[in-house]
Amino acid sequence: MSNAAVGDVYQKIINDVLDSSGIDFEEAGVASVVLHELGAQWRKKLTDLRVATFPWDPAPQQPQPIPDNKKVNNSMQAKVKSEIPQQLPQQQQHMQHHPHQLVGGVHLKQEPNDQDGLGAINPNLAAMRAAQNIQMKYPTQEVPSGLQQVVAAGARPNGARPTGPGLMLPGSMGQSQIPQHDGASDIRPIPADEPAWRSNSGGVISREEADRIIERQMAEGRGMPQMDGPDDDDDEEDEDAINSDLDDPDEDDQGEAEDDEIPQIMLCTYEKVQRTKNKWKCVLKDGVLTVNGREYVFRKANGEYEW
Amino acid sequence: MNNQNYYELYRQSSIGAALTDALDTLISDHRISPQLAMKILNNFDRVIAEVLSKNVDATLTFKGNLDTYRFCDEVWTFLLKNVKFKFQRQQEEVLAEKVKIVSCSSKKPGEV
Repeated sequence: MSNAAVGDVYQKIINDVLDSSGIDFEEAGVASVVLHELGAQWRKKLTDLRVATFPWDPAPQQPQPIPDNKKVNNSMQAKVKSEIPQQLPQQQQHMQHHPHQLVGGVHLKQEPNDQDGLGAINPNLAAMRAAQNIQMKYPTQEVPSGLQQVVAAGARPNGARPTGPGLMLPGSMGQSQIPQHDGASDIRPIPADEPAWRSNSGGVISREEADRIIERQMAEGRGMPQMDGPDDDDDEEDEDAINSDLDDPDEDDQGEAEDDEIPQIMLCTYEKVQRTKNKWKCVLKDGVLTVNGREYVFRKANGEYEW
Repeated sequence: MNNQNYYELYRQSSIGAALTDALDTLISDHRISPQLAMKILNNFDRVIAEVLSKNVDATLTFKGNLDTYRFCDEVWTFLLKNVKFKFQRQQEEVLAEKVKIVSCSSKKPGEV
């Protein structure tokens, strides 16, 4: 029973839910193809958890290392966080000596408008915006070869051509060469910790000025903002604190804190819970049990434990 | 049938979480509305309760040390340590260092 039964039981649950949801989809005016997609997604996500073998799995336990999004995000954030300190000085130096990067025959002006330099240290963001600008302009405008073309990285929603201190384009510029500007970088767009870099994109400052701003901020020792939540150093356990058992930190380890891991948990209903001194007895029903990464279902469970 | 309330307890099981994930994806892609997703989850609450009581006949016994217990709003929460699960009709035994049990009354909400 138990684990082997889980596949069939879950299959039935999924089918029943999908069957009874058809009418809800219809009422909401959503095509039934979406319902099928929901079912497919649902099964796939269950398979990825590998808590049991399911009837829809092509082969038992086929390797399918699809990381879930949370994990990817976490690791990306960790990566960004750890890379920024080393990258900052390099980026800054880079800006001072090579403010205009030549890639694929296109001069790309470094973000001149970033008061705090956050955008400027983020080549991906600049590249993305430049690509957007170019896409906005080229379909509708013929660019005569040899024209001075400024690829400004500041976001200009109306697609207006920036007129600030511009850059010379070599005459041989080709439209198809644009996307890659400055080589690979793992830094993702960083939301600013102050709105200035977004709001002041209308104002133009010279790159010398931008460099000075960055230098000043570096000198002030202003670190990168922590983007991934509060400091995750483990809290010290304070023996003097008013901890009841209800605050037991162990309890938080049980699947509430750790999203990435499959929790050790039994979800069920109870019929009877009895206690005599420190001995407990309980009768549980209709349960789903997840232990050690495997799933079990039961109709009835008898538990005995001592406190 | 539909006017009866069912526990949302099982949504945190792996099958419930998988459904919630799938629904979230559809919502963020603007394929379905959150209201529709809620209806699907309500269907799930009902179906899983029915299937577990009607289509499962496994019984199990378990023993362990009770670390923490709590009874609040008709919900028992137990934190067990060194638990040994035994499934009837087969020799399989499962040992777990820790298990959290969340258990709602087998009387359906709204039932007297």
